[in-house]
Amino acid sequence: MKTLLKIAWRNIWRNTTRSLVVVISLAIGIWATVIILAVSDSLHMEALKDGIEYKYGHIQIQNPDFIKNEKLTITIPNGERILKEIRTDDEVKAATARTEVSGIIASAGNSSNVILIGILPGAEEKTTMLKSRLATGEYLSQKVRNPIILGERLAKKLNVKPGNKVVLGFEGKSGELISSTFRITGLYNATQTRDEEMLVYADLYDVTKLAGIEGQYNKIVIKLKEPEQLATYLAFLQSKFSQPDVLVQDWRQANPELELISDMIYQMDIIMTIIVLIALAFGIVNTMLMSILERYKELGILMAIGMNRRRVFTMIVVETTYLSILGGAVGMLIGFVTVSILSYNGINLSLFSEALSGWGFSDVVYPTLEPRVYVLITVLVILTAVLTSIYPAVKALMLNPNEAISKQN
Amino acid sequence: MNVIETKDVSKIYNPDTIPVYALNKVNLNFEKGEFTAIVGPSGSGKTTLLNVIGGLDDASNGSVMIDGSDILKLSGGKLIDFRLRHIGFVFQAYNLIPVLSAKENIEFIMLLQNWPTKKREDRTKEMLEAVGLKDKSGSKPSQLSGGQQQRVAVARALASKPRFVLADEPTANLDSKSAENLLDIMLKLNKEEHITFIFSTHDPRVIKRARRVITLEDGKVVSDIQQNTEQALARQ
Repeated sequence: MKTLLKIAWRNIWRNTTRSLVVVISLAIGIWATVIILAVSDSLHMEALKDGIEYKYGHIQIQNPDFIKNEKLTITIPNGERILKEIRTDDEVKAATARTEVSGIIASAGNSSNVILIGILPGAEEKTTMLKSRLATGEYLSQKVRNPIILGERLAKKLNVKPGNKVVLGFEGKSGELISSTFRITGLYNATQTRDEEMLVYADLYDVTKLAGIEGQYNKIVIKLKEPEQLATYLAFLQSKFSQPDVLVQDWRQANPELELISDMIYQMDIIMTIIVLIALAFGIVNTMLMSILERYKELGILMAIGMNRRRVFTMIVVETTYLSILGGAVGMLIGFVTVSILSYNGINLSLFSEALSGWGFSDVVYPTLEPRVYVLITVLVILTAVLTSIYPAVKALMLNPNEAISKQN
Repeated sequence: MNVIETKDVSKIYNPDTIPVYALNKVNLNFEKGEFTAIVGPSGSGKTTLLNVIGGLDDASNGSVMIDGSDILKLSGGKLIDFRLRHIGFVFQAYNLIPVLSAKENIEFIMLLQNWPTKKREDRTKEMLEAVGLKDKSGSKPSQLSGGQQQRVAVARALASKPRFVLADEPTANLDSKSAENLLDIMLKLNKEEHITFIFSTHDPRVIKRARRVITLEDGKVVSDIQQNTEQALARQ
C-alpha cells in the first residue's frame, strides 16, 4: 500500500500544470462554496435571530381563533394564570404577554395603518430584545401617560419625533372605535422595512384598559433558557394546555414565513453545494480520464508484470483523492481566512438594502460558518472525488495489457 | 525437467473469414535453466508466442502447461497473479515505471509479492550490483541511458526469482556495447540463478550466444537447434 501511495503521489506530479489546474479549480470551487454558505448561513441566522429574539420568542401561546380573526377580544382563557405558571418552569428564561390589534395612527400631518402591540415593558425586555432596537428616545417610559414607541420609518412618514403626540384608533370590545392620544417616548429601527412602518408598541395595561379587557392577553411569548429544549418543552406545554381554545406553537409553527425563509436558505445552500460538487466531479473525471489515456501503455505494463486490478483501481482512486485533498485543503484554508476577515469587517450590501430588508436582513452581513460546515464540505468534496474517480478507474481496469503494451510499441 | 510445454498452440485471426495463422500448432518444451532464442522474420509469430506463453494473449487452440497447469485456462485475477509469481518480463522498450527510481523499479514486483523488507532490500542491492548499476540506484528512468534502463528492466524481471523470464527483443534498441553488456548479465544470471530465459530476437549477437535457437516462420516452428555457444563464439 505504501508503494501504491508513493506511486500515486508521484503520478499526480508528472503533469504539474494539469494537477495544479485541478487543485486550483477545486480550491476556488470550495472557497466559493464556503463564502456562499457563510453569507447565507449568517443571513439565515440573522433572520432567525430577528424572528426569535425580537418578535416571536421560542414558543407562543394564543387562542386559535385569534389566528383566523385577529380581534383584540379573542384572548387566551386564563391567560394570567397560564403566564404565571409558565414563568415558574425551569426551562423558561422569561415569558411575557401581548395584545395585538390593527388600527390607525395619525399625527398632525399624516396617518397610517398600524398594528398596535400592547406589551408588558419589564417582561418584554427580559423576553425579547425590542428595547435594544431603540434608536432615539426612551423605552415605554412610565413618566408619561399612554407612552408609545414607533419605528423610525413610520415616524418619518408621520413627521413626528419623541415627545410628540399621536392619535391611535382601534376597534374596541363591542366593535366600537376607540381613539386615544399617545405620547411618543422613543423610536426603534428594525431589519424588516415592514415592521418599522407597521408595528407600534404601547403598554399592555393602557391598551387593555382602553379596550375594556383588562387582565386578558392575545399572546404569550416564551423564551427558553436552552433553545435545544424547545421540542421537549413544547410537547410538555401542548399536553399541559391541551384545550381547544389554547394553541401552543413553536416559532416555526407560529410564523410560517420565518420557516419559509429558513427552508429557502437551506435549500439554496444545498443546491449551491450540489452545483459546485457536480462541477468538481466533471473536472475530476476529465482530468483522470486524460491522465489514464496518457498512461494507457504504462498501466498495461503494470498489469502485465503482475499488478492486479484491485491495486490499479486503488492507485487511480488514491491519485484522485490526493488531488481533492490538496484542492480541498487549499480551498478550506483560503475560505476560512476570507470568512474570518469578512466576519470582522462585514460585507456591505446596502445596494440591495430594500430587497434584503424585505426578508428581514440587514445591509451589512457578517459571514460566519460553523466548524461542522467546514468539516461537512471537506467530507463531501473528498467523497465526491472518490466516487467520481470510480469511473476513470473502471475504465483503466478494462484495458487489455497486451493491447496496451503493443499499442505504442 | 520441463518448465513450459506448449501443445498444439495456434493463434488464428479472422477464423471465420480469411484465417491468418499467427501461430500454427506450436509444440515446444522448455527446460529449467534454458537460454533460448526465438528467431524468425517479422510477422513470424515470435512476439505472439511469447505473449501466449506469458499469459498476455489468448491462444485459439492448444494448451500452455506450466508446472502441470494450463495457463490458457486461467482468467482475470488468477492469471495476473500467476504472472506476478512465476514470470519475469523484459520488454523491447524497457517499460520501467517512470516515477520510480532504478532501485524502486527493481523492488516493485517484490513489493507486490509482499516480500519482507530486509529480504527485499538485500535482493534489490544484489540485483543492482549484478547489473552494474549500484551507483544509479536513485536515478529515475529518464536519467538513465537505454542500456542502463534495459539492465534495470532485467534486474526487475529477475529480482523476485521467477520460474522463467520472457524477453521480447531485449537488445533491439541498444547499441552494440550495451547489447553485449546486457547479454553478459543475462547469461551470468541465467547461470547463477538457474532461471529459464526465452527471448525473441532478430539480433545475431543474441542468437549466437543462445544455447537453443527456435526458428518460426508463418507461425510454425521450422527449426529447433541446440548450439554450443562456445563454438559459435569461437567461429565468430
